[in-house]
Amino acid sequence: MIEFSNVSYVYGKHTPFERAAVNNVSFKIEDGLVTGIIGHTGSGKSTVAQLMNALLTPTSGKVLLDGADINASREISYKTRFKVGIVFQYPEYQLFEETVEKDIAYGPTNMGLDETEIKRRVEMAADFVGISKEILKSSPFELSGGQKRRAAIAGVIAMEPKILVLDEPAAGLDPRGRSEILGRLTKYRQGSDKSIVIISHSMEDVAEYSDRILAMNDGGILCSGTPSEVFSHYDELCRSGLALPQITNIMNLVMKKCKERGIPFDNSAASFFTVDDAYKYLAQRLELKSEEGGNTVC
Amino acid sequence: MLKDITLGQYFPGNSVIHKLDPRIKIILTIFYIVIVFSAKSLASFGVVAILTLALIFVSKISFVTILKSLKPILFIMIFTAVMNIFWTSGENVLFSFWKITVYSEGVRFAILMVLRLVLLISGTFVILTYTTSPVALTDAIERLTKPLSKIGVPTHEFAMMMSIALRFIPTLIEETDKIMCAQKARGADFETGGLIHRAKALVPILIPLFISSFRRADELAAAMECRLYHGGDGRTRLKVLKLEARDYIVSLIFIAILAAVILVNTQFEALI
Ligand SMILES: Nc1ncnc2c1ncn2[C@@H]1O[C@H](COP(=O)(O)OP(=O)(O)OP(=O)(O)O)[C@@H](O)[C@H]1O
Ligand SMILES: [Mg+2]
Repeated sequence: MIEFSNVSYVYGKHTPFERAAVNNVSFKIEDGLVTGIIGHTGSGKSTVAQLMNALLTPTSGKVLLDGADINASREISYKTRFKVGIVFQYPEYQLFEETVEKDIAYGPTNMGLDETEIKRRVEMAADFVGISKEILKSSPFELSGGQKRRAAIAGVIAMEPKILVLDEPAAGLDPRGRSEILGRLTKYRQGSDKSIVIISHSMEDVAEYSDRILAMNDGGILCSGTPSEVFSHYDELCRSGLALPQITNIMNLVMKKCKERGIPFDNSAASFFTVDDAYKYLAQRLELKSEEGGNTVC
Repeated sequence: MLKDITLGQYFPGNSVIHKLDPRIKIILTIFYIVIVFSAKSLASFGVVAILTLALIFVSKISFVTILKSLKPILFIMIFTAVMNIFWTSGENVLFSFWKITVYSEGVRFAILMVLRLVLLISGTFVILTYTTSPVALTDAIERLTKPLSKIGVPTHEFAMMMSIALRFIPTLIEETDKIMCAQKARGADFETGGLIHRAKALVPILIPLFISSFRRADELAAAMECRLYHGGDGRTRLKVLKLEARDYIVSLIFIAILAAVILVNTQFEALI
């Protein structure tokens, strides 16, 4: 579990370019869950991510991993990086080895694991993100953008971190690549107490894959909780430049129209955050209707 | 982190010195060096010192900054002073012990040399480095070296290369920072171990950096070509350099100071 207690971070302290990126935030990332972090551009999401594994040291406040301060000493900070793995925004720019295989092995090698274990992890990670055997042997610079992204994510997964933090893992991918990567990633924690943090601009992605959501605004926390709790703060989200998932908006609209015309519509429609849920509900309704004799469709 | 390094050391400002035409500034810098080297007595150094102080005052650059700029040459200053004190021979013995004799000429010479260094550095920094943006500087260099293009020297291309390089330094630093963070997140360690270990640890940073630099260069070249960039011939500029009254006035002041220094040199030679 990661716990932030009154953490602030200021970039370029004591220079003319001083800028507070995170202001006195406190929250917890619970084990075994997928936490989504949303927020407008420049709200401090990436900064929070880097604070989680001691790449940045808080200007004030403490970051605790399982109750211990991760910035207590250089040694502890270094060890933390193997427990909290971060995949950066546009991670494909960090690839450097001759082959994808060697690149994925970079993290585990730094951990000082033995060769068989490294090999096992590389295979596991490659398999996990969907990288084939041939790609493993090729140079990372010959791959397409999406494949590079996968290779870079595999490089972090191979360290088998307890907490996997992904900064915009799906940005710039096609829809299929998006859902494939996100779907695979959320499987990462299955059958273990591993947790995942996904930072994203896409409400749809966050709504679909997260158990908990943390909404940030201007370096502070706007609200947090389960998706339905967070998305019920509709006005606040809108004011800080965020929005509800599209499907939730549509369902709300449909619900309103139906009620205006006196057509019964379940109030729970307001808490459909994924297309799947909405579809199931609507399909069910439509079938019901057709059995009743094909009345007007909502 | 890397970001903390200030590059180019340009302090944006609004003073007369900031506003001077960069071409004039380059010429004045050379002129200033001539003035400093013309000064031969303490009195004439006094004149130069007044000029330098006036420049600092007008430019509103703080004295602390000036002192900081002198730090790197502290060693050279001490070295020069020591050399001059002990190895200059003259007539008036100040004191002597063991095999070493110190002459008053030596002390005087040491003071002059150190003064010269201090004035040289602080003056040129105030006129050029601290108050001229790198872009203005390359612009001015291009204009001043333009006659050379007549004999085939690609001055415009050099200037363009220089300004592109300057433009991309901050980008490169930011990028290095990012890649370093990404590799650190995978357990890279740049701070411990021996020299070879540390050099090896740089490979995961340098390779992505080179690759993205090449990519960026490609993209920039394509973008420039798309906008029909074709070299310096017939190219007009966004900011046309034009001499103003202040450029002439400051130049005249500098000429007057040189005259004053030469005059003081000859008239007050007797005065130390
Ligand atoms: N290396 C840096 N140096 C100085 N300021 C920075 C740096 N990185 C970020 N900032 C500033 O800190 C603030 C928060 O940035 P951060 O990258 O955490 O935002 P973000 O929420 O990740 O944005 P995005 O959605 O665009 O990725 C921004 O205002 C940014 O200008
Ligand atoms: Mg970010």
